[in-house]
Amino acid sequence: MYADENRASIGDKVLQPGPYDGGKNPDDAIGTLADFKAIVFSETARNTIDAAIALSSTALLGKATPSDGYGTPKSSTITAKFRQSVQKYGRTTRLTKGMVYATNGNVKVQYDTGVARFVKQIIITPGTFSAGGDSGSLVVDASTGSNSRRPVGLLFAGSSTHTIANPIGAVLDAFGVTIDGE
Amino acid sequence: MTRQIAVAVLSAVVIIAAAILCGCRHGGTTECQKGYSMPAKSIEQVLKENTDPWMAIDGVEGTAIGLHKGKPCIKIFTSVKAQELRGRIPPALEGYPVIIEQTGVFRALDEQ
Repeated sequence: MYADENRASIGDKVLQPGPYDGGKNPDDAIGTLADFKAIVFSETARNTIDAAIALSSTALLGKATPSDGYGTPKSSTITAKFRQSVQKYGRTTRLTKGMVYATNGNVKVQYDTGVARFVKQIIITPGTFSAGGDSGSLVVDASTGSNSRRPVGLLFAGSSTHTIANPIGAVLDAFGVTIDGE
Repeated sequence: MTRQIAVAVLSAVVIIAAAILCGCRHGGTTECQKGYSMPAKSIEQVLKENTDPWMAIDGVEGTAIGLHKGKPCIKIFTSVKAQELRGRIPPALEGYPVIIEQTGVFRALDEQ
């Protein structure tokens, strides 16, 4: 989303809230676009992530969701498993819970620019897990055990019945970063 | 008595042989009682070999590995009714069920 379907440039201001929600440049800037993985728009491409990363400061950011969310994610990630209970906090649907429905997903995703194919994706149900505007939400484990709040994926696409997330390990590896969580 | 022992030994051999022939591995779809054969390939391999031709079919939006009745299966996600594609996609492949589900088109979830 920060990279605006490959149209953004490194160094562009990142706004919170976003322009769609009334955010103004530069008053609402919280950082600058530091890197993004360009999407290959093709139905035969093998994209693995739709992600970008911003350079900001701890003074402008928190680690936890708003108070009606799940709190602070763990720093240690976990690979998605069938029927794993997951949750996310997003801009549109806020806190929702769902389940890992399928893995190893190959999917065609419709963008304004065109269609891009993604591989090795996580498929989550139910359809109410996400909606337009939730892209960029961190999907974390929703169990009550030791895996609780361990990051699983990065939400980026979906239909009325399913949500699709990039495996979080692929996202972190692409930028050489880790999650500063609990 | 000798004949009873022979029958018992023969029965044991048959049971062991059947267990070996029908042995389950990789959580696959082996169901001896139902007459399924044990998959020779992993489900990941079957998915990899068939995803490109399936994704080229109009109305197919995705493929994945899921569960069907507690066992691994191949999922085909579509923007059309499942019946419309059943003639081009088999109900099972290499011992794994192939389940067609109408999901609709997948879209990026930016502001809408």
